[in-house]
Amino acid sequence: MERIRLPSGVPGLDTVLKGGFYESGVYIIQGQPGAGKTILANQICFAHAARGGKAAYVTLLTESIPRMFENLSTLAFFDPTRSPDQIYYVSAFHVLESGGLQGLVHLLRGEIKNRNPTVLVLDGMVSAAEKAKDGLEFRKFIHELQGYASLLNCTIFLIGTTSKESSVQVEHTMVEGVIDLADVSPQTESQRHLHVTKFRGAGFIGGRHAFTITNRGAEIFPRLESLMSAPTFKADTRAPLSTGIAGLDQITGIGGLRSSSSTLVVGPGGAGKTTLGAQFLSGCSADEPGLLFGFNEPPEEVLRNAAAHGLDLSGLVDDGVLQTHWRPSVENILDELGHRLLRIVESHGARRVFVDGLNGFVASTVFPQRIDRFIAALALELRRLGATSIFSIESRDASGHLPSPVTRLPSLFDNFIILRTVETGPRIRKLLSVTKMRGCKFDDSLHEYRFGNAGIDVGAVIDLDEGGQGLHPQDPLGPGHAEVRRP
Amino acid sequence: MKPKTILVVDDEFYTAEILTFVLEGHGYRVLGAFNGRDALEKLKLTPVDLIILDVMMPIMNGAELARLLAEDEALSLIPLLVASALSESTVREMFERFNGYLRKPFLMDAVIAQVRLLLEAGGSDPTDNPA
Repeated sequence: MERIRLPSGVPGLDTVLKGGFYESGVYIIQGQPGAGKTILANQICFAHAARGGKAAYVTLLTESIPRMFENLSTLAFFDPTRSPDQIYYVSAFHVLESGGLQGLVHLLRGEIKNRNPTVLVLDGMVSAAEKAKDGLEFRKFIHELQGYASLLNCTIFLIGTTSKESSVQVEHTMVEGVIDLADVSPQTESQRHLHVTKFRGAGFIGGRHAFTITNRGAEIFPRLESLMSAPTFKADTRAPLSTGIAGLDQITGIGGLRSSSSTLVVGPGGAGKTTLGAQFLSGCSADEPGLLFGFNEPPEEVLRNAAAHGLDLSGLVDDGVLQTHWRPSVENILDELGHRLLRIVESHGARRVFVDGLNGFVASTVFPQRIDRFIAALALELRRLGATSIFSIESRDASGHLPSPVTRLPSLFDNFIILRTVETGPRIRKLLSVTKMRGCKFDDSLHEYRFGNAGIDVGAVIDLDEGGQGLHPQDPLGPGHAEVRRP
Repeated sequence: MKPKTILVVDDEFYTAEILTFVLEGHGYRVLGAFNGRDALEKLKLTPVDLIILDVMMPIMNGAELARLLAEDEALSLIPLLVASALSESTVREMFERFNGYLRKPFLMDAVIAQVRLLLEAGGSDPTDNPA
């Protein structure tokens, strides 16, 4: 018989657990002080109460329950009217001090029997472990808890602090699941991570997952690439989407970008990447809603600059067919950004997506080796959602070289467009080339482009050798290989 | 003069410890109990002038204790000062009969003021009106 799951009520955690906890299970949630254990455990209790369940929160800590209430009071899930009828808080510190583990067991048994909670939190597991005369007594204590959990249909969470001095590992072999909370600080910034190290009865998504604590409470952001390990797609047979640039549509060979495809546009600052994206978004309509997800310029600025090019994006925003979301490229959490983008795309039904500044994702990762897998997963998920996406990224030089460590990026996208600037005598010329357009017979020539009255205007093929300086015709134009030859 | 006796009923060890320390400093005699049942045992042995009562406690909570006290002719006369993290209205839904209320976490000045109000009715000497 399949065991019944207990939803955690913590956004993202059930995804990691592939369905939530198991009812009547005993689980350990552990981490350093300040890792968010108490908030997570309380959030589980309040979510359980919101579904009509009863919970008991037994603390062995010296932190007072009223102080805990004060700290929780700023969190959206905290509803003091749930207490005491649905969530009952008691301190067992004195009982543990005076009666030892047996006294604690007696108290817990009484609480479960008298108040019938179906979720019980025991906060301060290390205190209980330290009170045990030996490992055997503590294992017996855990065994007893397991017995009550099973017989009385109560899911038990043991909250513990991890430290070198009081590392408690024996019970990990006994309980049904162990969740570690930790701060990861490879640089100056730090990020909270959740790591399920054990979960009996079902698969779970291993590895570290970012999580945040905001006034909404705890929220887990499963590693995006871990969710996309077995993507499923239906072929998108819809017509291509115009880029909004007639000359570029012509170069693609199919009149625009394949529906649900992903495109990377690389170029130096000022080359027109955002303008290109704005032109793409100018095609938004009720049938093709769009999203501007930016890291660089605030949306108002993008809209104002677009208006200067005769592109009325503000009108599209007013009509509700174009949404904007701006995240300054400061300290962001990579997976939170990815999930946020995907949620907006899904809820808005966006078909035209422009991510202005892929660098924003790159800058948000604390594990640079992840970035390629992350971007690949993001592009795949956008495809699954039926969104045609353009990502811009700033090159590290005028000739369109990708910045390290993302030189593999072009292989992750369906299409790759390079914008360059080259010096030809006294002129700075802007050049566009398509080096990849999956499934299309595209024109791979260099085209000069200019900023016209309606944004970027892509012109004819250009042979720079005639101009003397600039790109050499023998230079490979593939990803990251183009070179500007200087005299 | 015999000092007035206060029974502090609270499952939180350090809350009870600090209350005891401060109240004793103000000249009161203080007894402690960690739950309602424990309090009943103490009340059988020692008459008290005031009970400072937490609500959420294991084994027997404050509401259960208050209801039992109300059924006893002598014990029902002891003033109850509720000290809880629960709101006063929530506590009132659980039991009606209490004489004072303090929202936890509280400041000790507020506790002393309430204790004086309930015990001394304007007096300030904890040894007045011996029990």
